[in-house]
Amino acid sequence: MLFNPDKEKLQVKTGLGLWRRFAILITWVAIAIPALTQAEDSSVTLTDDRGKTIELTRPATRPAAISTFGADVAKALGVQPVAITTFGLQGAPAYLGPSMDKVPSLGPRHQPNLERLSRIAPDLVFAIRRYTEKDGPQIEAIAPMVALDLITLQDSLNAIALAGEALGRPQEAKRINEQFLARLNSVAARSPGNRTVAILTSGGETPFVYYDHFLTAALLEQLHLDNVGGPPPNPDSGIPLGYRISLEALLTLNPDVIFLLPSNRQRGYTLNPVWPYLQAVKNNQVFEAGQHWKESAGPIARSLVLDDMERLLFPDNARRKTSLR
Amino acid sequence: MTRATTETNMPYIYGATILALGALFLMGLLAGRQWTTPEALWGVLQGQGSIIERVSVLELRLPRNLLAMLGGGALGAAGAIMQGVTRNSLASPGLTGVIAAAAFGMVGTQTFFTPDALWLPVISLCGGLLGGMLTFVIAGRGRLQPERVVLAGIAVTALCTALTTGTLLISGSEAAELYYWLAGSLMGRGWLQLKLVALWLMLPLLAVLFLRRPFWVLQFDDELALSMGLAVGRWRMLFLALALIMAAALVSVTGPVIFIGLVAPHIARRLVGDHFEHWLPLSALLGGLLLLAADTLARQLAFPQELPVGMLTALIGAPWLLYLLNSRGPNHVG
Repeated sequence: MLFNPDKEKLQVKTGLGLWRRFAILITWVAIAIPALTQAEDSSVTLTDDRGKTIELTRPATRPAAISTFGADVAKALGVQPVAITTFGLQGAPAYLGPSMDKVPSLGPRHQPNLERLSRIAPDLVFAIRRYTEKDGPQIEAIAPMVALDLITLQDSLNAIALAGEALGRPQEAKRINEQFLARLNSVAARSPGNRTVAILTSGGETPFVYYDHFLTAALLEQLHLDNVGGPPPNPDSGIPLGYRISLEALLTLNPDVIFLLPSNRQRGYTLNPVWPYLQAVKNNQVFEAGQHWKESAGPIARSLVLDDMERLLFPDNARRKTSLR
Repeated sequence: MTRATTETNMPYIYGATILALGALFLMGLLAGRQWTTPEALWGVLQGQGSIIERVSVLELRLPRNLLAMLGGGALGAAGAIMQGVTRNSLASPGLTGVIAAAAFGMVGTQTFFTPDALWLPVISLCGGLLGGMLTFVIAGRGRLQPERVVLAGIAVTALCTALTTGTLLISGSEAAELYYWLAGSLMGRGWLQLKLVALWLMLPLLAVLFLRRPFWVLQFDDELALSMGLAVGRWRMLFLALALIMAAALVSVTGPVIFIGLVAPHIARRLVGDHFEHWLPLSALLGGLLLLAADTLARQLAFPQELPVGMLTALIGAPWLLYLLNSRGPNHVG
């Protein structure tokens, strides 16, 4: 038999081709099966503060925020929200930067524009449970909804962890919480404490004071300050957040420091003849706080509140105080 | 009870009412987060005592008591006028549309503008007066008929209530604040509010007490009143105008306080019998007594919080109204 080198080459080539194809197939299977398995694993199962289980086929990329918390946590985790609700007296929450100005607004959080939400078609809605209970079914007809309590410090920690899962960034959310707690402990360690505080809101003749469990009051308590609002009557439900305190009761409790949350007009109770007799007023320890103190559960707001507390409560930063008398 | 017996009893009725009013006033000065002892109160009145005691008594409790007494008195008198002039025992100052209009003035202003706290009572007072005037304008074509005033008042009240509800829906973050105001309260009200409305309450109140004689004549049949030389239409208009000024003034600083204007004249009517000349002054005294009692209770019942006094007056007034309806039988409404 004559050696035909071309035929031999062909045979070898053909043999190699088969092996190569087989190898490619094996490689493809080796890559594809884990990839397919991974695709199945990217589904997310969440349990919100209603105790309801929410299934997402993949992490949300177009979250809508029927609470400033939703926008805050999305931004902190690097996801741009597709819709937000108004932030107190402001339109968009300025503390989240100019990028929020372009995000469509749904109006107030207790009465969001659901038609607009429907047109925007988010893939997840972050909402506050107590504001969206009546609209829950309609919102869930548009997109899956995560309803959160967002009252206490623990609510904030849980909600950020949950949002991390929902947005596919659990590790970042965990890191944010850990960093915040570490900073809170560090500030608390330096805090001299031994002062009483009150967080007041309202523009009328009677202020509303927050209970200890309300997040900003809870942070002050963590810093060894004593909130005069006292413990809540229903710690399990978290509602009410505080109560209308008479000026006589406020005068008796006589807090060393008062934080005033935003009002769109001159506050009636600061015009009362009793106001100048309060210890905090006499000692120039009345501070105007921003709207983020009222909606402080988000990682950015929470951190800003701690900045404010550190700046305002510790004597070495006294020059940055603002006060009302 | 004969007329002579009732007349003999009147000094006792006045005496007992004034005594109860004085006792409640004193209790209102003592009651608070920390009760003041009578000795400490005496010290405060002589310029002694701690700062907290002095401020609590002189800056908080005293003006609040005065406002409750004066405002309740005005509401009681306004209620008696409404019931007397319209000859409808279910009439009250709210029927002139004044309370609903004052409430709309307050809610609308706070929703669409950002006025200072000092302006709010003024705006509310103007709203109340406008509402009352609108009622009279609608009712006043030709001779002023009581039933036309009531119907026009109901229409104006319905219109203002609808507008208030609509405005509340779009009031956003202010809604909770406004709902609280709409419950009616004396909490946080002091010398500032008292000074704002004192003249608006006192002058009409003194005027109606001074004019109780024509008011008495108005209770008779129109023909009889005319034959006694009374210009019935003009006097009715005057009394209704004074009633709406008093109601609007009080609502402007406290929010709607209901039922005082209904209940006080009824109790007074039962006490005075046929002596209509005593009806107005006794209604005023009982109105002051009821509002002072309701406010003192409102300060203590849910301690350390306070209840809206409007809620307590409704709790007192609603059973009274039911009692009234039951005690009269199905055919006696007016």
